[in-house]
Amino acid sequence: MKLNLETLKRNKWRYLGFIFGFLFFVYPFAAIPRIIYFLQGSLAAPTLHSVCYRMTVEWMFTGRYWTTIIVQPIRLLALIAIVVAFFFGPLFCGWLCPIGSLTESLSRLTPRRLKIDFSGKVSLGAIRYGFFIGFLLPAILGMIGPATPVLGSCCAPEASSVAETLGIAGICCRYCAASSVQNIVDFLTGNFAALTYWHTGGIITMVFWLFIGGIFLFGGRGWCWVCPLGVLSNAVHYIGTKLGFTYKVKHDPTKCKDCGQCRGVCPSWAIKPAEKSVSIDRHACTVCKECVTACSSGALTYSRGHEDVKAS
Amino acid sequence: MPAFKITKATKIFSILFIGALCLTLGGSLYSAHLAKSEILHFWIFFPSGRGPPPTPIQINVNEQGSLKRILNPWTIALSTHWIINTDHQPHKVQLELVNCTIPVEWEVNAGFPWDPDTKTFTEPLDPGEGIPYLGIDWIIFVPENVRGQEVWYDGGLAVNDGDTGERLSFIPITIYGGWGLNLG
Ligand code: SF4
Ligand code: SF4
Repeated sequence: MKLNLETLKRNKWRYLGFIFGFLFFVYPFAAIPRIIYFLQGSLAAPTLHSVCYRMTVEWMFTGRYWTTIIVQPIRLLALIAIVVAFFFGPLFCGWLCPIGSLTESLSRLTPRRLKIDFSGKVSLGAIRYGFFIGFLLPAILGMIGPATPVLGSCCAPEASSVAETLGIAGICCRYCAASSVQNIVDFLTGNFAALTYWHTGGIITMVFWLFIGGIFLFGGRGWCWVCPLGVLSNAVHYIGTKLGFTYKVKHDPTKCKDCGQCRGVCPSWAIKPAEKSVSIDRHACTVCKECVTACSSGALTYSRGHEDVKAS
Repeated sequence: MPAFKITKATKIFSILFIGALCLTLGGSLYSAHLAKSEILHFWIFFPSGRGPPPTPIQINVNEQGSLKRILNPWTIALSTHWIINTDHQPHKVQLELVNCTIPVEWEVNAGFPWDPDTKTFTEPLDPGEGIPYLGIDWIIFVPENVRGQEVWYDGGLAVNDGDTGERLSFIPITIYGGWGLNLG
């Protein structure tokens, strides 16, 4: 999985999507938050935080979301990404998200021998859903019992007695890769103060998102494993793939030469070897279509219809 | 009844699932611990006497995570997303860090007009309302001459009426920096 001219040409629309992801969501560009804030007459800075999809997903499960979208319509973006994922696959993840696209691009520049690679060998679904339950539990427990404003937590500002007794807090803001991306871009665009404050959670996030799960991971998409929007998008995509009218990456075993080309280009570790063929893990596939453009036998297509291969 | 057989794949799945779950819950516990000393978030209700009383903020830098203490020891941050007017009348919100002689950077982002010179939201905040889309970070830079002291800052955040100057609320803030004696 390299970033050479051939790959760029083959997947030009996708890499253009990466650029648009930055132009759409990251300050100082941030076209989408700008438009929404303009229409709302809001003076808030349209940073990547304003579209924070981690907190948005948490709120979807704690009920707060449905009242928040009235005053913060920008939060609709995450819901749109999830609905799109049902019908077309997690396109936001694979084509637009600045957090995932940045590390994927950097990982492509890293020599293969320096990268961690267990692709095809681990069940990312297990890791992702384990994380997701752990992500939601503190938020849901934090709703039990009367809530009081508490000192200390940003993403769970009202702690219940249960949450306080257990000593748990939400993890959205403490470990936030969106902050890291925004701070780096702020710094690169002249706001040198953006990198002056580093808290422990920020340092841990930076190390995992950018280095271990990014630059030095095959595919560079380690952060996506622990991204609530990514997990939820893949969960609904998985359900969607069971239905004939949705779009998905389909594999035709009769055309497959088992050359492994597709496995070598999948940034999401979603292609597993199967008997004389491959299978696609719907809990990981971000419909990036890198495999579709790499397969010279035409065994992979992105289209509607029923799955040809049993999803793992 | 068919015998239930645990396959190797199920075992691996369960181990990875439980491992990821435990790691995330561990992250949650650690997050709750760090929240008291690193970029602590607090609520501001004013005027005092109405709504929840202000909770004094005490930051002990000994309780910060070791990564921060090693890599970024001399900055302390506080933050709020919630300034709420519990009065029956509108107020212009003016903020002031009382007794503060050390350098502090105010990073203010809000969907409400803010004047950085007077540290005032220049439009009145209606009763029962909070400042929309609010994020204020106070980044405190601990100067060398303070690093050896046991108390780095002892003051608080005052909320004043921007028109009359009347004090509407006060949140005491103390930053204990005892470990600075060794590092400074
Ligand atoms: S999984 Fe999350 S971080 Fe990864 S691409 Fe999708 S939204 Fe972005
Ligand atoms: S299976 Fe294909 S479309 Fe899905 S993430 Fe991998 S390369 Fe992209």
